[in-house]
Amino acid sequence: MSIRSILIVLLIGSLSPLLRADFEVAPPTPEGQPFSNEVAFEFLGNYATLAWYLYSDSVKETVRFNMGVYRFRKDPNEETFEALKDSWIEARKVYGRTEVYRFSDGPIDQMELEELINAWPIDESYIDYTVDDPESGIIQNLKDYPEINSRLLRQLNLVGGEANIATGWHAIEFLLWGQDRSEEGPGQRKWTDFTTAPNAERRMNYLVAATELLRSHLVAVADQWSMSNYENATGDFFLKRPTTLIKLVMRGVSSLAGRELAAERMSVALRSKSQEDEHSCFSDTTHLDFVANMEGLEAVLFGAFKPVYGTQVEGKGMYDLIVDADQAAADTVRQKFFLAKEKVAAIEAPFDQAIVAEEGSQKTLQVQEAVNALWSLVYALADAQELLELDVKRG
Amino acid sequence: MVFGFQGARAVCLIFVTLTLGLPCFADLLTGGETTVFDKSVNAFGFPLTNLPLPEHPRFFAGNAFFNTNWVDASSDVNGRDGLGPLFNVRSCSTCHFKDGRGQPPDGNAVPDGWLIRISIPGTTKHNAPLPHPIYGNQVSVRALPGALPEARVRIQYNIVDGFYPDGESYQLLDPHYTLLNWAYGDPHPELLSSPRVASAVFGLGLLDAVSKDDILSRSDPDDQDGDGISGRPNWVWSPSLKKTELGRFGWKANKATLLDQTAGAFVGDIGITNSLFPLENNTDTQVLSEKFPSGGSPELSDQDMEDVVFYLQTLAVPAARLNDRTVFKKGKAFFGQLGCVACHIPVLKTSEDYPVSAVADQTIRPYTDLLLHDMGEGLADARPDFEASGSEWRTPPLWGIGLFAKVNKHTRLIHDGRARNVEEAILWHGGEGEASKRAFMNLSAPERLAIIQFIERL
Repeated sequence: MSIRSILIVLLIGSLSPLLRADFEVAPPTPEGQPFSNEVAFEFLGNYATLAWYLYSDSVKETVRFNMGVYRFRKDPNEETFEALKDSWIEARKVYGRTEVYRFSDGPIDQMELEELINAWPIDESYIDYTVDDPESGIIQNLKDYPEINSRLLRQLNLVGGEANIATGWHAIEFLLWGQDRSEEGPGQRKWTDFTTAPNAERRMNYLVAATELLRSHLVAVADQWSMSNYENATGDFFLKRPTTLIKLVMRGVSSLAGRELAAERMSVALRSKSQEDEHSCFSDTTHLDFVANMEGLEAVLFGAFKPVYGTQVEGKGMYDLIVDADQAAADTVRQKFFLAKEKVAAIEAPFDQAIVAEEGSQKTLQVQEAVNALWSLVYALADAQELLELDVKRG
Repeated sequence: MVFGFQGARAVCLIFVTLTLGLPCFADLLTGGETTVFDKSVNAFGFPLTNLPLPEHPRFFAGNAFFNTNWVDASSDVNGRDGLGPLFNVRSCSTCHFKDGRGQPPDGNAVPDGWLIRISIPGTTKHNAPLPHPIYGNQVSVRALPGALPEARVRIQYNIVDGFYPDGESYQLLDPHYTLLNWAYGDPHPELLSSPRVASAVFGLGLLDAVSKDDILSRSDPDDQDGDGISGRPNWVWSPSLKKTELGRFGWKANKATLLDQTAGAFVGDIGITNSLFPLENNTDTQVLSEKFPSGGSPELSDQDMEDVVFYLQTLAVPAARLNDRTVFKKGKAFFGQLGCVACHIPVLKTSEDYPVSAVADQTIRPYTDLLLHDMGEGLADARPDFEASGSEWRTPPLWGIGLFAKVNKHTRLIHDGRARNVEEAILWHGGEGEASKRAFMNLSAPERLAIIQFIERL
């Protein structure tokens, strides 16, 4: 047995009690700390467990979607194309739940893969033709890019501006739906764009390459949370101080609710009145993104989640930690979360029609109420965080 | 470091105080209470740590506009249209990628984050450089279909070999710029040109908030104290204030306010008109305006402009990074001894009455005096800009300089990006910086390394 493997065994031995959902070992709670260390460790352990289930769900749905891409390539027709789009929507929903793990200095951020997986807002003319520019995009640029493959797409992502997105969910979404020029429904790209239209073969290659790339990136992130992968994130995760971890988790939750959902995806779109600012603008599934994000928030806040592939996970959430410090603050967080969830669910689909609706109309009011409710949740979390006194150093 | 991280500072304070003592910790707080502790690829993109939550929505609205790719006004996209007809890039974030800085293009590529200012001898009634009668005051390297880019730029570098007194060799890139393929007639025979890299945009609110008196107190135009360092203010015309004001922003301190800078960049770089600059950036000779539809008049609303300016005012500076206390202290000591601090003033204060309260009354460490200095012939562009001569440049801030490699994936420095790293940037110093550069060159190799490593941790 090499020294390295002995070290790994020792490391696993020392960490494994920490990595189970039910903790037996937690350092004694320092005097004066408003919450107990037992609850804190149970919450953080469950947070890591949930991450694995959320990300592995996403990997599996993406693999299914990838299989649909192969099926469409082998047998391109209207039916396989429609089925493929449906499976993108399913996979996308499941991915949306993982976004609560962003902004927390976790694997998705540290590996710098988020911008390859989910970059947005997108300039579609960077990828393919648009109504205004029939010649545009990587797909139609044979001169500079004679061959389209995953290596090229990775290289081209975000070159020359943050909207020049070549990879990830929204690039694939544009390939499947095309520009959304319809009031009622989503974009109306025809499946023949991949068979008989100009550059059809390159478009098909792009779809396959972008999908394979997405799959591999998601596998890489999920792997970091794997419970049998102690050399990576789950281990790294617990190398940080518990108070730092709690703050990072809070930052992730608050950033998704405030910065991402309320500000960038709702307020900005409402302000600009531009369909370009709709999150999943090609497929008209933005409302599903919102709901999925709220499900991710709910899982981390309350510790419970039912994976698509697996049995119900139950454990402590951030709410339980706050309860341990201050019941009233926890009640406020709970109340604000469910209000926000209700308001977000009430936004009528498709979201693009709410964006372009008249100021003061029912549709814009719905969005504005959701924005306000989400910010109230963020404020409640900031108040609760103060009560946890995470910045006070104790022995 | 968006939410709930106000306390990171406090934790660090306790930690660093215990282990290192207070003076070192203060060095890390580049932006005072606004400082963000993040060294990731997004390090330049966070709001001020002490920005109240209710002001965050405005910050993110500005952020969205900063990242938007503008489109042709003939498209059916509403709200983000009006690009060009002549332009350099399609969004703010193309040049200031992730709020960081640009670099010169490779070979003959069309530049992103790098442009050439042009003018002809003489000044306007406001003492500004006289725009070229056809091509205006910068070369637009892109155009909408149906129009032609104004010109193409070719960069060639001569490799200059040099030696330190201890015998160690170094190489500098001496750039030569050629403008060719002029699309709208021959340029003026006495064309003046000056290449400029897009600067990073974080911490601008803090620089904006340094009081005018404070900046002017360091000015010594005739070098009366005889230290070889002048420090001249650039008095420039401010279109928003409609008067001559102290210039603070830009490589020659030729912009007085963030609004002047932002509005000028929207129209000059992207072709987006706004209420300060209601006319497109093409001249009558180019006869373009009638041919191309407008995206509205103006194309950018005042509210959107205000949000972008607010975004720039509230983008936080990342903290300095203390990896090795001994090296940091040693490098910092040399930085002082060599006289670098005569222009790269480490500590400034922001005024108490700045309109964005989170920015007001902060002790900041930008390492600049915001004044002009003669940097010698090697860096001169021979193109006066208001009161800045052809060889004068504003001291650029050094905060965040070590994070460009992470965020922007390059370490190009100096106004045109000719320096490939901190060492080369130091070696390009001439004029008022000559004595400090000589002193740097006379250090031993490990001492030179200490000073470079100190700067890279800012």
